[in-house]
Amino acid sequence: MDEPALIADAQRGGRRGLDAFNTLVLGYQSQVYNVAYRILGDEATAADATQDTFISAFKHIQEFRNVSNTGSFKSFLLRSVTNACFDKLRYDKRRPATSLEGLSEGDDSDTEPGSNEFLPSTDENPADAIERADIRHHIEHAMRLLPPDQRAAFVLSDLQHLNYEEIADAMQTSLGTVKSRLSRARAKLRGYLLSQPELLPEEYRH
Amino acid sequence: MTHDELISAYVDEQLSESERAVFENLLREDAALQRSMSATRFVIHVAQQLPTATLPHSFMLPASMAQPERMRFNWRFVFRIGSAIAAALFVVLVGLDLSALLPRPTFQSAPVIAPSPQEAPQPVLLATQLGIIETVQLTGLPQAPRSPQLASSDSGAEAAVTAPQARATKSLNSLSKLTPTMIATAIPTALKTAIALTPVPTLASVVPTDVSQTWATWPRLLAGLVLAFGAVLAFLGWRK
Repeated sequence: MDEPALIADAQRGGRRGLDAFNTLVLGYQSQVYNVAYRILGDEATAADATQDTFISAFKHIQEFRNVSNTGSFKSFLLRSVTNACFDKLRYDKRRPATSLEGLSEGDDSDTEPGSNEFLPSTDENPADAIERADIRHHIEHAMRLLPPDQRAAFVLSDLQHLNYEEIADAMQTSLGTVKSRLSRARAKLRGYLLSQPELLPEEYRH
Repeated sequence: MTHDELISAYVDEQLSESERAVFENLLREDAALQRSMSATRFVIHVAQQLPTATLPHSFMLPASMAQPERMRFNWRFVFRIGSAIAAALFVVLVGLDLSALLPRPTFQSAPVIAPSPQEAPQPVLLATQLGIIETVQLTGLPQAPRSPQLASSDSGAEAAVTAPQARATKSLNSLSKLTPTMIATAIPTALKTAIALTPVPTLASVVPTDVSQTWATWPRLLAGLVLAFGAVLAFLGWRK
């Protein structure tokens, strides 16, 4: 994907510009959606945030100047989606609503969003696979309990493998704040796991 | 840094050499810290194993969102070309300026006309007339033309000025005899006479009569303007 050329084409507008932008969407939509999903913890809201991000990026593509800097469009999208997620969270906080889907979920991990991903594969010991899926489920649950800014730092660092500078750029904050948020997020998740030692494998219990 | 921050920075390899050495010493001695470190590594390991969420649908934008095509004027190209032309013009004008310094047979310098004896101030004779200095002559200096009136009125001084010997004659006999009052009255008179005899600059005397001089001036002005113009264009091109 020749990103600078696609951005330049998208900036020209017209049908060709839209096609170029959609090529960029195809390249980044999975990453953008996953960030939104892990921060928001809900498929529908994450889809909304992702769509908002791409529409906003398309509307503001003319203002995107740093075409020659490879990777800057990714930073631009991650910054947009992080902002969109925080906007959604603020909106939900102002207007709390009880999800009907949530009422039917209970504690059954199979009904969690994306939980079908945890089904054991055929080449894995069923007991190990169940244990592994259980741990993942608990981590996901613990992630949702984190404050949004700490959750976003954890998602961008440990799920998206961004470095501190990229996280600071995406969250529009300082490096020190990123380090602080990330360390607190990890400490809370660790504390959650240590409170249920049966979840930890033997080698991590000492 | 707190222990949590140290653990996090250690896992991400963000500690300096010295910080890492200190932290590893702490780890060896503190079992609780070791446990926290292991659990943190496990949390990160599990998080990295979380499956990628499948997309509910494609997020490609519909054709109805296509914006009207823009005819983009390539300002960067214009500025680059403009600055290149300005640079070429600058080189040409500097070349013209340098060529003007070479001998130019088509332009003859106007003959230098010596000022007439009436126009030129004659400080030596003036001082002599005023009685301050009898004669001052330095050998080797060109002889100043004399007006006929002055020459006839001061034949003794004339003889001294035109003396052929290469020596400086300083006859300050009158000066030593002058009183301060005499000097005070003589100096303003001498200054007034000198000012009256000094030719007033005219337009003809200010504007060089040598055509080659004007030829050498305008390329410099133009080269300066072109250089400034080129610098502005290059700056705009860089900003774009």
